Amino acid sequence: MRRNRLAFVWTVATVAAGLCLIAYFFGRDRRLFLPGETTSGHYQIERACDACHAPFQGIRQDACLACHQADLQAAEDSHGPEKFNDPRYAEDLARLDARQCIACHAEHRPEITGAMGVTLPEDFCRSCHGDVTEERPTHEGMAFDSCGSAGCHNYHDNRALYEDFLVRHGEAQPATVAAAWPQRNAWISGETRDAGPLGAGDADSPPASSRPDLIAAWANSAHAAGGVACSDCHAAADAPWSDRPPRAMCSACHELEYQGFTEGKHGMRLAVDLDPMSPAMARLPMHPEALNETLDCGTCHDVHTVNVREAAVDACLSCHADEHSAAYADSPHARLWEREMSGEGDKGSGVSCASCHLPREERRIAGDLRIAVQHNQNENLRPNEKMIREVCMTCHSLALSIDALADKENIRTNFFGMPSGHVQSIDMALTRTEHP
Amino acid sequence: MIRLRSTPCLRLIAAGIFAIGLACCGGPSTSDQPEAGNISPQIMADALHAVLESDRTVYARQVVHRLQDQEEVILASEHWQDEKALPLPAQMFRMGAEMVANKTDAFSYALISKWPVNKQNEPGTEAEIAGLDSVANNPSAAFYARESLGDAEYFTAVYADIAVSPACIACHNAHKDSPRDDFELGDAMGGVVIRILLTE
Amino acid sequence: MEITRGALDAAIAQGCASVEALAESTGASTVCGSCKPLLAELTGSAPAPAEDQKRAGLLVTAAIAVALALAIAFGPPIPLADSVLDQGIGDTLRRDSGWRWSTGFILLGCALIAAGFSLRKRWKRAWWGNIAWWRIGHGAVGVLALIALVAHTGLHIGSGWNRMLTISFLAASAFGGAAAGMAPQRTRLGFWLHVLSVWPLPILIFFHILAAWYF
Repeated sequence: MRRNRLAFVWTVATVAAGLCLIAYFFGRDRRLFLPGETTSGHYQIERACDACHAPFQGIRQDACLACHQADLQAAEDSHGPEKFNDPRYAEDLARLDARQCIACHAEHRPEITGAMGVTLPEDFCRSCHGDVTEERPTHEGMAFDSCGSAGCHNYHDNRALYEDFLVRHGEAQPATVAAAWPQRNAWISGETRDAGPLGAGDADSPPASSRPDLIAAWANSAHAAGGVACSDCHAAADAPWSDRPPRAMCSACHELEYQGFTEGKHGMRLAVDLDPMSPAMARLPMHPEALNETLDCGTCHDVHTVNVREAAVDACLSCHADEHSAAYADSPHARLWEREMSGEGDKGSGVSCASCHLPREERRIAGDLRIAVQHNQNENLRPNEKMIREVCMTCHSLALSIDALADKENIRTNFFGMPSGHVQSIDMALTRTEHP
Repeated sequence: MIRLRSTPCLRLIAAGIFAIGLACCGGPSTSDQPEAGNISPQIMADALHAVLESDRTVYARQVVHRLQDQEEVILASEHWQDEKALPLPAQMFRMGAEMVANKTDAFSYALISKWPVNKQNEPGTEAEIAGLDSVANNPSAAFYARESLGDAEYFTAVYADIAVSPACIACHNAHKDSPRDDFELGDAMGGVVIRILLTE
Repeated sequence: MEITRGALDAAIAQGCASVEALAESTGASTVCGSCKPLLAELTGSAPAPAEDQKRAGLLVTAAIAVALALAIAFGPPIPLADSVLDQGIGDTLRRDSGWRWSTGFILLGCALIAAGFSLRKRWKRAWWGNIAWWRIGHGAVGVLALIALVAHTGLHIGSGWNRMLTISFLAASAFGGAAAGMAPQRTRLGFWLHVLSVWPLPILIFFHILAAWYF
């Protein structure tokens, strides 16, 4: 009898546990069912399963493209799906459907995931280009797992690596020239502001919310100079005054910047309605005292001073504690930045963290050429060859740029000294031009 | 990650259920006889080719050749984005082909040659090889075949691709990746392949 | 079925001198039969030679199951090919989602067949075949399931839910094998450990499949 009762309780408990699990399965946080560790590209949003998975339909290709398509199009994707759509590739596609992102980038498979989240063997280029030496005898003896890892080729983005580009920029050029970044001409969406500059006396905050230090900070800011009053942020669109306006407030005017921010590692969680990123969640080394910060516009840009110079170095280094970041202070780039900050150097001649990782980009908006800061810090980072054209070549030769970005030690020391290795690609391209 | 939908087993089950459903409904109502107005794959391919060839010839002569060589306004270049130049006629043709392939599986077209600048555009299938030989010998007659690629049947037509503008031969003869440097105006430089999907 | 030592002693006192006679009189050893050597000891008779042979068969399958389970639990994962040219059946099994479904369902099938063994014990009807052979069959199907597990996971224990499933499955296999190999006096402990590790499997498997399908 006792035994039957035990069996009954056991069964009931088991069924109840199963029912609880069903509730959990369709709940908000389902990470218990993750089949494996998520890649560093996606782990921040792994709780938002539906961002990528459609119920009972697997991964939606359009979910990948929703975040990555613009970048791939801008990169003139060397292996975009349209290259494989021709029926003559039907047999190859049956082996590996290269039109699908997940054919090469399976997620949650740490045991087979390599650099750039690729889940194929590293020599995957060999599948189609195994006979490359017939056409390019110079490639004899080169390992197929080095095509994309040695600084010569990239599967998607070859804008700075294609042969004629190497030839055009490969002729003897000075490794480094003095240059300046283009000046921002910030683009403000919405109605054009014609208010003149404002001073401390123009502060239109209610008395209870008028801290003198904040008003002084604002009065010296670009916002005040541009006629942006307290109420424009704290009581926008005739809303009642709020001491802490929502973070999306900034995007009302700085739409491009906010969009970039929510596409990169700093703000991607906001794009899928998760709570903001915090250094505590980071996989890169962070300063322990910064772990509890949360990332929104105000984390890097003090909301009253809106000092973009602080945001360009100090803000980054207050959280990031990896070797590359720690080495910045002693780097040649930092010296240029210090010279510009002290007024010795020309405007735009300094190289801050943001110069390379949140670079100023040309954008065509309604026919106008605008220089805006790309706030998606990942946009030109993975793979780092994407940095060559937009950033490195502003001051450096293509040859030095390629060599430096292929040299892990040089990156670790934040480009202190010259790269130790040399990538042969320019030499090979030049040789072939001279002796076709 | 796992798409059960696409497993052959489920497709088979789905096909079975569909077949039973069809049987219950008395089968498809369309007859196998071509109705008046239906066009054959060959007429379809010929028509497509006429449009493609004409559009590209207009582009090669009236845009590229005129602006680059006669009026010297703008260059045409393989790296047209970087060099702020005109796309080459062959690139314009390819971009169209890629856009079509993104829109429909019903037909596709491509440029192939025995002497391609890009090795990926060598003839690959038997029909492509036979087609290129055929149009090289007799450029005025198209080559037609049926092909089975993957698990689909195609009506495949190959047409001679004639050098219609000096821009074509100048670029191909000078390109360092081109296996031939002696093309002349009017030569068959390769072929246009048009495939019409016959199976669903 | 609970037969006390007292009941057995009473039966022996009434003249049951062999295992068969005890079975006839009290029902002892007619369910799983693992206590037959103990009964033989009680009655003072020697175990039948055929029992030895079956026991050897059982021990072999048990040893394979335990060894496989330990290898999967503690062995290094099977590496995948470093080159696209060297990709073999192992890579296909692990990378191709269709094959992962297939090996998964083969594994599930083996588990269900193995589970059928407990019906033989609990469902009182005339069953075909000797219980000892059924037990060997149970062990053999368990071994097949472990082989399917190797194909399915490539010796990866997995993480999260999948890890719990793998551990539960391996524990069930190891304790099952150990119970079969244990001295008769200890079988009861091994049996309960086996049951305990099998207990969460249905829920673990259900959600594993649901998650694979849903996502």
